[in-house]
Parts: sequence; structure tokens; C-alpha cells
Amino acid sequence: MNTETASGAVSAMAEGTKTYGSGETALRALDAVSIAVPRSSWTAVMGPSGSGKSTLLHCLAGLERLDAGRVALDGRDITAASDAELTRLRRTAIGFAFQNFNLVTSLTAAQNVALPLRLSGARPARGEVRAALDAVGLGDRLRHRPGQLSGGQQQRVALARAIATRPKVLFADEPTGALDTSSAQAVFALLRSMVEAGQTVVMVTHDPVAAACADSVLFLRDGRLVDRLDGAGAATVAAVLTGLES
Amino acid sequence: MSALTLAGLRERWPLLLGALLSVAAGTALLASAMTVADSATRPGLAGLDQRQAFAVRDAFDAVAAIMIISAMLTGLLTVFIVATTFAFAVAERRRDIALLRLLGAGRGQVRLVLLGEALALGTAGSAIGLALTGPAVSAQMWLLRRADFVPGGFELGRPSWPLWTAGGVGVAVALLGVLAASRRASLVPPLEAVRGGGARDRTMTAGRWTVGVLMLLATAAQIAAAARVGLVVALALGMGVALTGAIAASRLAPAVMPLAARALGAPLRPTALGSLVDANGREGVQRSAATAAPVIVLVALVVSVTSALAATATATAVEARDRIDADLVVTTTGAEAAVVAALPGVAAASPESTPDLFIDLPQRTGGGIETERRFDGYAVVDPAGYAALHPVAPVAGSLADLDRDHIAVMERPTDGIGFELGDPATVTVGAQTVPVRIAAILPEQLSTGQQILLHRDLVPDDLLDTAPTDVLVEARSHDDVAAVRAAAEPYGDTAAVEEWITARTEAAQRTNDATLEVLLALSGLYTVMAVANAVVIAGTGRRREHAVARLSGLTRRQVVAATALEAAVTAVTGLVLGLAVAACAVLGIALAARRSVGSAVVEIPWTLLTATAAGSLGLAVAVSALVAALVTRTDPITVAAARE
Repeated sequence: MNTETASGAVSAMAEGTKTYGSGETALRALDAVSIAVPRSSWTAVMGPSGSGKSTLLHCLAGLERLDAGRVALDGRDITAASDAELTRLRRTAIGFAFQNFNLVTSLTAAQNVALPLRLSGARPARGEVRAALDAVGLGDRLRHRPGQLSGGQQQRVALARAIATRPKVLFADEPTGALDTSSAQAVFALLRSMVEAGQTVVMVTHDPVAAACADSVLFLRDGRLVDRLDGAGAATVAAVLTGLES
Repeated sequence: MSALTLAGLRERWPLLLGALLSVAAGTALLASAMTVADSATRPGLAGLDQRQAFAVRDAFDAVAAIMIISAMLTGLLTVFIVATTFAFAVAERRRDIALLRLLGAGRGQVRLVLLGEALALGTAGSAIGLALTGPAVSAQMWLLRRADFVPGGFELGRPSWPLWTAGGVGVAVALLGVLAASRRASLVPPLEAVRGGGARDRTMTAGRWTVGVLMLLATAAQIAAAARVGLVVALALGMGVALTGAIAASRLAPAVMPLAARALGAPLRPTALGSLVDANGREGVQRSAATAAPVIVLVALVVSVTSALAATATATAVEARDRIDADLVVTTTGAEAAVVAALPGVAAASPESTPDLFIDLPQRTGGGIETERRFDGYAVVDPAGYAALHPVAPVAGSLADLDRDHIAVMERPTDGIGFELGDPATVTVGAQTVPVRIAAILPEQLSTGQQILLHRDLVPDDLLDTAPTDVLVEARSHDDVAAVRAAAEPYGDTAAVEEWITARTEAAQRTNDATLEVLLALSGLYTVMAVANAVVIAGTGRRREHAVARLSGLTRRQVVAATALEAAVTAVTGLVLGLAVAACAVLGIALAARRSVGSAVVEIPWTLLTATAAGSLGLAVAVSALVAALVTRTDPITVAAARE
């Protein structure tokens, strides 16, 4: 990988290619995609359904392996990282926020927030967990289980978890996909505050409003990077997206 | 980490209650069988003479033997049921595990969580099981008493080793049960937490194939061995084939299941509901296999063991018909034997008495010569009469050589015991011990009644006169039989040989039934519990799937019906596989019978088979419908919208 472009990037992919299946049914999800996500930035990834958005996110986060090309995270090449290395990264450098929230339903909000820290062997202070939940406005819901929380609250618990572990990069896939407008706004504000605190957000979305909150928007179609907008408004983003879908 | 373990237990309580119950019941049954067996090893013999002491010891040994067999059976069932339940419980939690991985849990941590749960469950299950040992012992003793197995003077001890052993087995089995499953679970990719829909493990793993094929080979080996050894090993064969065959069938079930489901589902497919059942059956192979496993072992065990014992009784009758060439049997005493033999119309008579005496018989075993004192299994005969009515050629020597210094013995190659002509023995009658030698060796037989033949001159007349005696009588012609029988009537109970053999077979069958009840009642109940368990575990994990089905337009009633139908298809597949295993056992028994008595004996317990089949089918359908009804109580949109 070209270290020149990667030097300022906290997450990067060079010539990433990924194909699912083989022969007639083969689907090229990523086709020689190269991106570099700068530190302390918010990048949105958009594209029509089936364009490879989620695959890009999974590969950047080390959840899926590329067939060809290279991936780097926090200055380290993770293209062929071992499971143990990737596990370590998930504990220390990466956070996740997905549409389906990914909370452990048997644990309380506080326990969910503390879980990654505990898995990494740390014993999180009560105040630390509380502060993270306070930051997302759920300081009074410490002992609630996910089933007792609304969708927006669950997503905020997931974000509190990402805040508590202070990951360098937060990978988010449609984090507001299942939320109403006001809950979504709260989540956007949280993501922005994380970016301002020095963290990096890579977010897949199909919502132009969400994408407009990001610093830059990448557009994918058929596994290829086709366009890029910086600091664009929702209307511009929507227009580009409509162009891609037609 | 321990908080996570406990949280996991709280969340998946039906799943884990099932696992807990399977450990508890196994531990209790194992502890109770070992407790009773231990108590049976210390007969109270004070103040008894040798013969009485022998009888008491014999009765105690019988209890010990059946309890040891019972303990082995429960032990193996516990391993099987607990391992299946735990492995299934782990497989049902792939999504939870993937989520842990996503949040930074290492492979080792995943295994640690699962092993921690298994340890907690195993310990709790064992503790509950040990608390239930008292009631289990009572149940065991009730069954033994009912079957008339318990000798007078039997006192139940309270040894502690069975508790330690069973408790240890409970914990160990729980840990071993998740060992393989936890390894597989640790390989679940974190990506699975992100992707919707549960990808499943490849159900047919290399380990599964290996165990399945090895067990299949073990089953074949037992059948081959049975064909060489004969029916003496029928019970062991029945149990052995049932267990190895059931393990093979349940391990290989995921490979067979889709085919079976397709075949059984064919008539259902044209309807919308039927196609759903069919598709679910093929999709949820792991679930179906886990539900079918206890059904397989239940059917295989019940049918194999029952048919093994029934075939032994029948074969013993076949053997008796082969080895007795008489018209009548008069049951009387030695004193009347001569009178019966002298009745008009009698062509030949063989009085066979069992006076009180004992024989010290040196037996050649692999390791040397061991002398066994025999208080039963002998008959005092008149060699000429015996030879005339028993068309059996000795394998060595001649019955004509029997006299007061020479005896005949039956060979026992299956027990690893051999005799040679001229081997010395002693016969003790009253206070007098007489040295004798072996003059004839008869071929092995299934019946344990007449393994040693003594000449009547060995026994003083006064003793013989009072001894219980069967006089086998052959009439001069067919026409004389009725007259001879009428004439013999005053001297004892008369019966046509066929009636006599039938009565003996029925008596043997009653003993068999009693043995079966002791052996199978509790372990059968245990297996039935395992069936219900598997169905509950499979059912509670489908809340979301059912909700989605209802949102797609199915009524709650249709969801319940489809689930019940799916359970029926699974249970029938299990029954078919179980019957295939039972068929292997029946084949082995038939081959063994051909070796022992020259003709293949096939005894199929139709009533029991039908009851077991209908019972497990009904149970699976009823429980799955109930669980489906319970998990669909909630409004489907609430369930489908809930995130995990």
C-alpha cells in the first residue's frame, strides 16, 4: 500500500476487491476500491442497494477479508491479520454501531456499556460507565435491559458503549435506520461530538440527511467508488444518489 | 466474565433448564443404581448353611448385576443426552456468541464463557440430582420389589461413593458435552452478529462423520460377533447395538435428515402450510437432528432390548423342542419316578431330579483352572433314559460312561470356560464328598437348567425319593399318550411336552418382562424427558421466526399447526432411524439364534413398539405445539421489531 496516502489516514483500503460466490452467480461486491479516511473525520458511504457499501465497511473493520488489495487500520496493515490481532483491535481501536443495535439482551444498559472493557480485562469504574450513558442522555437507565428501552434509546446505549471504549474508529451501518427523526438527530449530534473529540466515524447510510451531517460522502455503485462530495448539503447528496440509482 | 455467564443463564432459561434437568436426572439415576448395587454386594449370611447362603448370595448377585447393567445404561444415556442437549444449547446461541466476538471477546474467552456455563450447570444439575437420589432409589427399589427381585434380608445402605461418582460424572459430562461445541462456537465469525438472519454451522462436521462412521462400524462388528458367539450374549448385544447404533444414527442424522424430510414432506408440499413445514425441516437440520436424537435412542433401546430377551426365551423353547424327544412330562418326586416309568404304554422314561447337593467343578479358563461350587444347574438322571429322550450327541465322551464316579458337563465356550474328559470334580451330598471325573461333554445350550448331569447312583435313595423330579415320558405309540397321561395323573402334574415347554417359556418371559421393567422404566422415562427437552429448546428459539411468519400472513393457529407438523415429520424421521437401529439389533439376534439353535429367531415386540412410536410422536407434537402457542402469545410486531 502507498504509505504516502495512508499516513494521514486512520482507516484505508487500497485496490480492495471482494467477490461473493463463483461462476454464473458470482457477485463483485468491491472492485478495486481505494479510500483513505482521515483521522478525526466523519465519512459517509452511500450507494444504491447492492452497491457494496456494507462490504466496504466490513472489510475496513476487519470483519471480512478482501480477495485482493490491502486494508490498514490505525497505521497497521490488517489485510491478513490473525484472529487474535483482530480481536485485540476490536477491543481497543474499533467500535461498532449497527442498525440492529447489537446489544446483549440479557445484560443491563450499564453492563452492555462495560462489556467491551471487561472483555479486554479492564475493570471499568462505575463513574466511567455512568458518564458514557450520561453523555447519550441515558444516565437514568443504567439498570434497564434492552427490551425495556425504545429503539432510539437502544442505539444510544450502543453509542455509549462506543464512547466508553474510546475507539479510534467507529464503524456504523445505518445507525439511524430504525429510528424516528428526533432520535436520529440525537444520534447525529452524538457522532459529531465524538468526531470533535478526535474519534473517526465511518458510516454507511442511504439517508441523504444523515450523509449531509458527515464531512465527506463517498458514493459506490456496483462495487466501484464513483463519486465523492465534501461538505455537501442533503439536497446535493440526494441528487447524486438519484443519479446513481437511475 | 462470570457475570456474563450468569446473565447468559438467566436469558436462556428454557434452554438451560433443559440442560440442567438432563444432568440432574442422569446423576440421580446413576447414583441410585450404584447405591442399590452397592447394597447388594453385602448379603447378610450369618446363621445360614452353605446352600441357603448360596441362594441368598445368588439373589443379591442378581440385584447387583441388574443394577450394574442399569448404571452402565444410565451412564451412557446421560453422556448421550447431556452432550446432545449442551451441544444444541450452544448451537442455538450463535448470534449471542458472534456479538461477544464483535465486542472484542477472544476465542478463548468465548470458550471460557461456555465452559463456565457448563460448569455452573453441571454442578447445579449434579447437586439437584444428588438431592433427588433418595426418591430415585425408592423408585428403583419399588420396581425391583415389583419384579420380585429383592431377596429377604436386603438392606439398603447409604454408601457415599455412588454420590461422589455420580456427581463427578454429572459435572464431567456437562463439561465434555460443551467441549467440542465450544470449540465450534469460538470459530463463529463476529460478522454474523452484523448480518441479519442466522447463518448456521455446517452441521455435518468432520468430527460428526468420524464418530458416526466409527459407531456404525462398532454396530456392524457387534452383529458379526453375535453371529459367531450365539444368543448367550443377546441382552448385551441388544443394549450394545441400540447404543452404538443410536449414536451412529444421531451423529449421521443431519446427513440423512434432509432426504428423510423431503420424502416425508412430499405429500405436504402442495399446500402452502406444507411447503413451509417442508422448507423449515430442511433449513433447521441441526434443530431436527437434536430433536430426533433422543427419539432414536428411545426406540432403538426399547425395541432392541425387548426383542433380545424375547428372542432368548423363544430360542430356549426351540432348543428344548430340539433336545427333548418325549410326549409327556410328569412333575413329581423321585419316589414316584419309577412307578411312572413302569406304567403300561410307556416306551421310555427319563427321571430328572434336583436333590440338594453341590458340586465343585474345576473349569479351565484362559488364566488356568478355577474351581466353581455349583448349587444349581445340575440334574440327577438315569443315563439310558436320558439318552433315549434327549437326542443330543455329546461333543466328547459318551453318556453311557456315566456312573457313580463319572459325570457329564455342558461346554461353555461363550463364558470362556472349557472342560476336558477326565477332569476331576467332587460331588457333596449331605456330609459325604465323592470324587468324580468328567466322562462326557455336551454341547452348549441356552437353558441354564442342566449344565451338569449326575448318575442317580451318586445320590442315596432316600434323598432322591424326596427330590423334585421331572419325568420325561415317551409313549409306545401316539395312541397311548392319552392313556399314559391318565395313568400318570395320580403321581404328579402331567403335561404334554409342548405345554410344559410353553409354560417354561412363559415363566422365562415373565422374568424377562420384570427385568425389562427394572432396566427400561427409569431410563425410558429419562429419554422421554430428553425428547420433551429437545422440543422445548428447539421451540423457544423460534419466537422471532414465528413472529415473522405471522407478519407474512399466517394466523397464530397456522403457525402452531405448521410447527406441530414439522415436529411430527422430525419425530417420524427419528422413529425410522431408531427402527433401523432396532432392525440391526434384531438382525444380530437372529444371526446369534441361528448360531445357537439352528434357526433364526425374530421376536418383534409390536405392542411396545407401537406404544413407543405413538408415544414419542404424540409427545413431540404436543410439546412443540404447546411451546409454539406459548411463544406466539405476544403481538408479532413487538417481537419482530425487538432488536438483539
